[in-house]
Amino acid sequence: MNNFISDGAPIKNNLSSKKSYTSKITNYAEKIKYVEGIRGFTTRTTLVLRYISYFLLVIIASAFTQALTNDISYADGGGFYMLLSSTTISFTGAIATLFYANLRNEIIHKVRHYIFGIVILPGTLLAGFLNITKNFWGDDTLSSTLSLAIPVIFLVTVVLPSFIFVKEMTGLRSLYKSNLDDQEAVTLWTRQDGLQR
Amino acid sequence: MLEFGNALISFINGFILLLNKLFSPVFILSFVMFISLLWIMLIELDELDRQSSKPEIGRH
Repeated sequence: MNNFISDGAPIKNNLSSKKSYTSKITNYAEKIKYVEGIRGFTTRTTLVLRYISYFLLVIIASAFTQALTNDISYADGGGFYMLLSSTTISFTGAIATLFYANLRNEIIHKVRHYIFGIVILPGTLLAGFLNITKNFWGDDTLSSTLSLAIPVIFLVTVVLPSFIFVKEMTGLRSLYKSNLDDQEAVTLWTRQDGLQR
Repeated sequence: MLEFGNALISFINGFILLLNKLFSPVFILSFVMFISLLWIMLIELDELDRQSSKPEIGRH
């Protein structure tokens, strides 16, 4: 490289940026092996397998729920709503990681908590409960009330969390925004607030 | 010529059937969720890579 005319400013290392895909992948693998050893590969493989199992778990739980809520009034086709809800949550979370890059780990934890902790596992349990109790109900007032109430609980468990998640993600900026105006923030930051004495 | 036409029509029917199956709501939802989870997985892989080594600064 000809550095005959140079002002001494840092320059981009062109040698490392021009590489073929194969050598990029090889370099990546070599770096992992050099820094972390074989354990680096197993950590990454575990992560990929974990996400594959997440996907399959959502599909299987939705299929179970669809079968369990079949022909139950006000909860018929619950598995489809479960799939729709999980997709909304994961898609909104993925978009939110683009807009709030500094909070992306928290967003990922929240996506996982909403999908599996709020929608999938309790929803499937409720669908099983709905299926078990569908022949219990008679014509009395308690039966009609309860047989209406449990599908409402299913709705609240499966459908509503997706709306709440979207609201939470779209409100992140205002949640983390300081209430100080610019002048107050600058006086605090530059310690012109009189608190230093 | 008639056999050729029949074969063509059966191919087109198969293609339309494939489109109908692929563009069902369940398939679209599963696909969108797959892409979203893939993106989230790539972010987690990136975080692992960041944790594994110190940041590199090219020739400074």
